[in-house]
Amino acid sequence: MDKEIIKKLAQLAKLKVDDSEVEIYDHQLSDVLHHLDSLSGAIDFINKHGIKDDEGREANTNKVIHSSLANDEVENWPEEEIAMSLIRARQNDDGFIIVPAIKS
Amino acid sequence: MNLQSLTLTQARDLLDNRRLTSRQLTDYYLQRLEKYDSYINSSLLIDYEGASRAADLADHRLAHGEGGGVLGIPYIIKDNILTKGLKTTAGSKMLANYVAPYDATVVSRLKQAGAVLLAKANLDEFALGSSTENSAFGPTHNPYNLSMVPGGSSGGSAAALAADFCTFSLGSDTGGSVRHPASLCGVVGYRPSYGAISRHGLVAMSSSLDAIGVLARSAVDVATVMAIIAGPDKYDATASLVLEAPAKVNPIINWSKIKIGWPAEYFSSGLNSEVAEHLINIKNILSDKGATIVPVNLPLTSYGVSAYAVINMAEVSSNLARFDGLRYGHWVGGSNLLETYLNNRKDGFGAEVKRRLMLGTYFLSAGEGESYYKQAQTVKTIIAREFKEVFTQVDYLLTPATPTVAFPLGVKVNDPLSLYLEDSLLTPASLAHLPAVAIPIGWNLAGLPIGGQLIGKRGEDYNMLMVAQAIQDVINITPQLLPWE
Repeated sequence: MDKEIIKKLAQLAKLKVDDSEVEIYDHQLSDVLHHLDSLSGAIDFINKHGIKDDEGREANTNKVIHSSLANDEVENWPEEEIAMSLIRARQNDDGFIIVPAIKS
Repeated sequence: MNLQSLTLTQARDLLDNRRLTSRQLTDYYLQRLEKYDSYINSSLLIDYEGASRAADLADHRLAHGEGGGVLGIPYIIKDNILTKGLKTTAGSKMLANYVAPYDATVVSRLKQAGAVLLAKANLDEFALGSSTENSAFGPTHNPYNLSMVPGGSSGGSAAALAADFCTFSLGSDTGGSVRHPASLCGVVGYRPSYGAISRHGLVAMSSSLDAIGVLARSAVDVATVMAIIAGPDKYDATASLVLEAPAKVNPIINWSKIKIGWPAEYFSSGLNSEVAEHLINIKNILSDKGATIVPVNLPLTSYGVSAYAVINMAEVSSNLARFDGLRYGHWVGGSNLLETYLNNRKDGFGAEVKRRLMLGTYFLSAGEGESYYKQAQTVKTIIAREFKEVFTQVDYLLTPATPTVAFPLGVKVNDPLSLYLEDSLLTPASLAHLPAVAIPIGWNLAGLPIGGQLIGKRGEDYNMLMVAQAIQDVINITPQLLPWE
């Protein structure tokens, strides 16, 4: 993990971090990740002993997980549907739908 | 009348026999909270009026012949469990002024049964931590030594009970957050089989592992509370496990019929020698009583805390995405929507929350990060399988609850890794969705509590609690004085 990745993760997690925080997080998160690398030791142990899960499947990480998760494929909303939605909206501006303000 | 350190069973007897009123007991605790909680910081909100009203109502019901259960019994609840009309902060600046519009299912069940809610307990922010130092409202102190941590994340719930501010308390246990502080504060802390207690109204943190748990002075008291709060709930689809509550709570055990597993991996080199000595002593006592002690192996135990950390952080990053300050929560604002999100979350969340959000985001991202998540899920599956196999040989597992006793405030707060490792003996049962209970088993030379852990088969919570009570009865540890009284 490096400082650029920390900044990218913060951005994805909607967190604002300044440079001094990046320095601290870089150190702390790298420490944690280094420890979590030990998980590969568990996988080696599982593979070495041919351990299977309750359904008798090989407890191999890729096989177990890939069978249950969909691929991450980003699909853009079709342009004509966007245009139609904007027309149907009560108010729109510059490609956005305007909604009533939230009153506290 | 001396009300000090009453168990629920003792309080029940006094209330049902009209030797004590709920109002008297409630006032006793409220006065102690008022007088002493400035030392402990166990509670974020004390509901003087609501508690007095509930106690009077309970006394009215008692006077009309009702009794039993938790009627008239005062309790404290962790502040990540929703209480209608009262603030629920989750220990976070993000929710500092949030007032819940409804009661959590456990709260409404306790209310209906006549329990008296006294206060909302301090916790690590969003239940992320093992020392209750991550609260936005200051740390909680260990009642047996104020310079020590109480454990966490349900540190307020455990410390309040140990400080004699209530008869029982509720916490939440994801990777050990009830059992850890119970162990460090010398009380009983129980995590149910996953799905036995509704989480409706619990601020979600890591949904595949979160559980509401009970803290009390005895395992029998825990069972009494369980009988009220457990069971299916139409508001929580995961609360589907039906436990058979015994008609009569009976901790008299025929030890010759009990097989207790002694897993070698829980007694590794990192274990404090005083903790190990106490466990070995108990093993010998139980063996003398006639229990069969069976050495067993759970080879992946040491990987449990890493698998837990990855799964926990991934789910935290997802669950806490909802806290953006727009509909409710901490508001700073900004010149556009993105800046508003960034400002609200930067100012509303503490350091530990931010660490887990970033790491969780990493584990859920394509590429190098996701390999951790895949490995963690595999290890979780195999750990559950290891327990299943061991439970074909034994009825229960006896282990230490924590590798050490309470440690000084401040020493681990900037070292997240060492805090994660505090839960190393607790996370495996969480990952396998098993019931587990921490019980006080003695004191170290410095006068700090030592905790043991009993792990049971899934769904056999009440039997496990009865054996835990039998162990408490056998070892019968001497109470210690609270130094600040």
